[in-house]
Amino acid sequence: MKHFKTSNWVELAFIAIGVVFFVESMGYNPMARLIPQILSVLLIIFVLLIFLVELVPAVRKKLGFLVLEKGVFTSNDLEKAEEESAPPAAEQKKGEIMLIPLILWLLAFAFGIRYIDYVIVVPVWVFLFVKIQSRRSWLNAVALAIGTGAFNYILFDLILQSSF
Amino acid sequence: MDAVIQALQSFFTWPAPLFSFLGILLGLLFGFIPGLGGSQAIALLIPLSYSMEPGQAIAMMVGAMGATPFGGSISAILINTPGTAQNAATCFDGFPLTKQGRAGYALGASASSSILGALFGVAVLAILIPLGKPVVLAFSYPEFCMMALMGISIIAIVSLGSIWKALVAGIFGLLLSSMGYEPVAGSIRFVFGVSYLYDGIKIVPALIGLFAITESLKMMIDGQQLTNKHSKFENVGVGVWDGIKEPFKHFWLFLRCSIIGVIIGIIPGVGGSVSNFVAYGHAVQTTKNNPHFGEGDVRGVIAPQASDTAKDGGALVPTLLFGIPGSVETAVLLGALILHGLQPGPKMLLTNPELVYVMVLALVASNVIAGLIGLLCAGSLSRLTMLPVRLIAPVVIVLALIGAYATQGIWGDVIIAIVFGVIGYFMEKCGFSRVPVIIALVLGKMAQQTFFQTLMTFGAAGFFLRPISLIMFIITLMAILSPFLKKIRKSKEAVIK
Repeated sequence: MKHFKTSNWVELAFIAIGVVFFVESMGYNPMARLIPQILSVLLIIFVLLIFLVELVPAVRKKLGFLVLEKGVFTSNDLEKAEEESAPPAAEQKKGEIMLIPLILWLLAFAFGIRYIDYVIVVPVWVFLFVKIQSRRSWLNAVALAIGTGAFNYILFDLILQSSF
Repeated sequence: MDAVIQALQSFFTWPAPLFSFLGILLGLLFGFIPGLGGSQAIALLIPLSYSMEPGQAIAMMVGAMGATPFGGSISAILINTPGTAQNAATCFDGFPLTKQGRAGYALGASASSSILGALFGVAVLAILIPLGKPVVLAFSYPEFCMMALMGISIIAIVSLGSIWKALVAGIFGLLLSSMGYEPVAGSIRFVFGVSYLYDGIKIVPALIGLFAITESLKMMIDGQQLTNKHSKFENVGVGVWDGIKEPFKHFWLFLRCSIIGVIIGIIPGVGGSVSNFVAYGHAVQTTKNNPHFGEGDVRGVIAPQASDTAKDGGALVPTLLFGIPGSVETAVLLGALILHGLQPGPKMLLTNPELVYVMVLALVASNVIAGLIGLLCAGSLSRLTMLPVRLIAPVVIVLALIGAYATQGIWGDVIIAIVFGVIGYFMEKCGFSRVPVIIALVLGKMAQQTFFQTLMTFGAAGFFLRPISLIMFIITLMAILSPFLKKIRKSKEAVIK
């Protein structure tokens, strides 16, 4: 049994989604539940296989061909190039940690445009993001905030006359 | 002929040329900036196109799609960084030419082979569209249902990476497409108490999330500089004309690589990242006269660029004939067309043939104009790549999320874009292709609807008694079982040995 990697957690998430959809669909009429139930069962089985192949060497030996079979156009050149550009494991871990503040930034933007006007939120958010998250100079932050704010205002308000 | 005339009127009536030009500029820029590409450009343009006529929207989005390959070749040639995955092979000989002080020569060859390749792809598309009409007329509910299933399974087989994971992504997309109103009886499914989900997962915010937001997150996390600060962009304007003449000198190589591009484009779900390597490999293997590949051989620029742009015409063939996208860009385009009330595939050929020809015109125009602009502005554009990605990412995020919001003014669309951005990030990281999810979201409702319509009209036998439907069923089955079939074949070969 190997240690859990990010991909294993993603696979567990897929299985959980399959289970939720299957259980939820049990309350629907036969026509409404037929296809989702088939799909959720297929999802659970397919992902379970990937999960077991990746974690259990004995299963990998027997059924590895299923999961490891590559698409017909996956060339060695491409795979090699992707492997070379892939960050090392330590950096991958760092990447996952970095994702949390980024999601919070995105949510802050989403709630900002809901409860405050986007004309204000766009430049303020860009300014704060560039200064705090991207760690760039004041000049960069101010210039980008004004530029993006003005561009959005001209495009959506003046040209497209979007009503949001 | 009427359709062609209508298409010409639609394409040249103001403001369609302006929108087409703006699309080309964005496509050129997104193609040029490493990390962004045609799919992101189209995803960002979708909300902007919402209030446009379908012909204008198509002119703009296809313009962006067509301009990307040449945009990507500029950064591949000048800074050894492919603007998009489909320009990776252009670096092999394009950058050595730049190092020799012959950047203008390489750019000229790239521009003319891109334009000619696109013209070849578009010619094939224009020939195949009328031939497809009889096939299309033979389609009914069972064929539509099987077509959707076949599309998803074939894309898994031909996609890059694990087939099994691509199938999982397709099933996941189909499951998501079953949220909201059930298309036949109208029951509401999987809304989990959220009224926003009554209409199901909308394609536009999902597209924006999976492509624009995911790429921005990757940019922020990877955080690498696009190019070296000390890069020099010299001699960009010298030798352009000599370069432009090169595809004519190596016409047969150009033609063969364009054919490769068209064929790979026609195969659903494959796209440019494959075609440029195949074309480059073909050039290396078949060139006998004093080859210097890897050291600055112009044939190493002509081959990938011709196939890259020819594949766009090819990719529109399955998209327009069957509603199955031939590449990632056409998958996003498919979603955009649906937003405009068009059903890409058989119905569109019958009801809106003029729009199909608008696509053809837009593709030609985008390649010609992108080539000209690219040659004029290559030197200045190159300096853009010195911008840190952490300055580009927030701008893309803001445009993407405001774009998702502007589509219908529904705040839930912004949240969906963020959710799909995060889902896309993890899928990408763990080797699950994002393309089957989008295709399943696009085709899922139709598959479910036509499944029940077949049962009610023809009975279950309807899937197997109609020849086209039966052939599609067999192909789908073979696609899903292909890993098993390969395993059996390998075992047999081992026993024989």
